[in-house]
Amino acid sequence: MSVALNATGLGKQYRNRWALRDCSLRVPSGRITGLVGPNGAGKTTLLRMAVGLIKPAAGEISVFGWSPTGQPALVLARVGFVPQDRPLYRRFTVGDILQLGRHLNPRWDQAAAVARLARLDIGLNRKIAHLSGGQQAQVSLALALGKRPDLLLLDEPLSNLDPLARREFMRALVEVVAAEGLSVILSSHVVAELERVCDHLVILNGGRVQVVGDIDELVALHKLLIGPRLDAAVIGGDATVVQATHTEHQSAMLVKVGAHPVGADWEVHDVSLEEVVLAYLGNPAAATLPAPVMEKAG
Amino acid sequence: MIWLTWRQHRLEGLGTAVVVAVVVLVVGSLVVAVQPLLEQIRHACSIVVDDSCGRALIAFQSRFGMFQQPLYLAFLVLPVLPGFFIGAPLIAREFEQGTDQMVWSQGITRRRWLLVKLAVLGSATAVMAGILALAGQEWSTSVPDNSYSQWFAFDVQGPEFVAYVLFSFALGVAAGAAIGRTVPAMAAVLVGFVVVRTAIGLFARPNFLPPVESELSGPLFSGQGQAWMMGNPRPADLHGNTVGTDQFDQVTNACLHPLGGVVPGNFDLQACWHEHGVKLLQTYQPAERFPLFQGIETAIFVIAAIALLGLAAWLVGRRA
Repeated sequence: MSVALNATGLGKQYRNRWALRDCSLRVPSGRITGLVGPNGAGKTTLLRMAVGLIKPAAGEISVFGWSPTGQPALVLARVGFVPQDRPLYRRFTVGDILQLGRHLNPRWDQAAAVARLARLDIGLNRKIAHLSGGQQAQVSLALALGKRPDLLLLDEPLSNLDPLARREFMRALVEVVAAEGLSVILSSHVVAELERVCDHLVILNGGRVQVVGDIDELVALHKLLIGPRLDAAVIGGDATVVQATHTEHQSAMLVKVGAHPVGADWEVHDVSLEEVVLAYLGNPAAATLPAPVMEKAG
Repeated sequence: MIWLTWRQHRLEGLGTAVVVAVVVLVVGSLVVAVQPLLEQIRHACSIVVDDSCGRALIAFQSRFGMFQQPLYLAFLVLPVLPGFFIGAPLIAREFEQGTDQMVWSQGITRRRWLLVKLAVLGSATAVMAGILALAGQEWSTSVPDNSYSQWFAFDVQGPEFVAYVLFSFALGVAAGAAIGRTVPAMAAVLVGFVVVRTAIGLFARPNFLPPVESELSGPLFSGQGQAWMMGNPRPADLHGNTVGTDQFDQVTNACLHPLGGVVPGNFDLQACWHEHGVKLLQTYQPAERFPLFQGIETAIFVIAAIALLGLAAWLVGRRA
C-alpha cells in the first residue's frame, strides 16, 4: 500500500481538552477516504496538521513521507486544502482568487481552473461576496485543485450547502478524482454523504482513531444479530459486540463477525455503513478495529 | 505574493496616498503663501527690533497663526493611522475571517507570506512617512525665526517622524497577531502608541544626554539660541550655590533702581549681578545636540518596530 498520510501517536491539547490523543493511522494513496466523527472528535485538527497549520504536540505526521511543519515547502506544493467554512477573500473576484492561486503555487494550472469554473457557469469577474454558498464552495475547490495536488484535504466541504449544491460539489470532486487519480481525505459528520463517494473510512472519536478500513469490508464484516434476550457473552463464535440494545424479549447486537459463525439462535441481518458508524460512535470504548484491516497488502 | 499584497491592500494604499497628497498640498500652499510676509519680517527684524518688526510679526500671527496648532496636531496624529488601518488588520483580519487557513495552505510558506507583506507594506508606508516628514520640516522652518525653536518641531519632522510611523505599523501588526481580532488590535495601537510616544517624549528625551547648566549670556537674557530650555533659571552665587529668590530680587532691584525705570538696550544687568556676587543659571540641552537627539529617538523607535515585527513573526510561526 502506498501511503498518502501517516500519523503515529499524534497528540494536541487545547487548554485542558485533548483534540487528538495518541492518534495513529495510515491513509492509502489513490483513494477517497472519509473522515467521520462527532463534532470535536479531532477531524479538523488532524487535517490542519496534515497541511502544517497546526504542529503536533506529540507524535509525528507525514504526508508522502514529508513533515508538514519540517518541510513546509515540499508539503504545501503537493497538498490542496479546503478549510472548514471554505474561507475566501470576500472582496476578491473569482478571477482574483485564481490569480492568487497562480501567484502562490509553483504547479498552478490556470487553464484547468478557468475551464472548471466555466463549466459551472461561474464568471471570473464576479465578486466572491455575491456568489451563492455552493458557488463559493466550487471556487474553493477550484483553488485547491488548481495547484495540482497529489493529496486533497477537504474539511466539512458540504456544511451549510443545500442538497443540490452538495450533489454538484460531490460530482465535481468525483470527476476530478476519476480523471487524475489523486488521493482525497474528506471529513464530515454526515455519513450518508460519504458513503456515495468514499471507498475508505476513518472513524475518529474523542481524539482517537476508532475504526480504519475499506468501506466494503467494514460493511461486510458487520452484522446485526437479533434474537431472544441474552447477554453479549453468549453469542457464540468469536464475534465482537459493538453495540447491544435490549428490549423485554429481544436483544439486537451490532457485531463484528469473526472467523467462526454465531449461534443458530440469531437472525443475521446486513447493515448499512451508517449503522456501523453510529454503533461505533455510540460506544467510544467498545471497539477498535485491529490492525489487519488497515495493513492490507499492496 | 507581491501581487496578492497589492490586491489586498490597494484600498489602504489609495487612502494613504490621498491623505499624504492633501497634507502636502495644504503645507505646500501655506509655505508659498507665507513667503512674502516672511521676507518682510526677516528684513524688518534683522536691523533694529522696532515697530515695523513687531507689526510684521503680529500680521504673520494673525494671518497664519491659526494654522500652526491644527497642523502640529495633525502631524502628531498621522503616525497612528498606519498602525490602525494597515498594521492591525494585516494578520488579525485573516484570523477573523479564517482566510489564514486558506492562504497559508497555498504553495508558499507562511514565513515568506509574512516577509513579503511586511517588506512591501512597511517600505511603502516608510516612503509615505518620508514625504510627510519633509512637508513637516518645510512648514516648521517657514515661521519667523524668533517664534521658532527647532525643539518645538521635533515630533513633526525628520527621520524620527518616519520612525514613529514604522513603530505604529509594527505595533499594529504585532497586536493583530497577538490578539487575533482587528478592532481590539486597533485599540491596542491607539493606547500603545500614545503611551510610548508620551513616555519617550516627556521622560526619556530630556535625558538622552545629561542637560547642561550655564549662565544665561548676553546683555539682559537673550536666551541660549535654539537650545532646549528646561525649567526656570536658578539664582546662584558665583560658586553655583543656590541663593534665595528674595536675595536675588533685592540685587536686581538694586541694579535697576538707579536707572529710574528706563532700561537702555545696552545695559549689562549680568555684570551688575556679578558685582553683587550672584548669577542666573539655566538648565538646557544645547542646540547642536538636535541632530544627535533626532538620531537617538529614531533609533529607539526603529529598534522597537523591528522587535515588534519579530514578535509578530514568532507569533505567526508558533501558530503551527
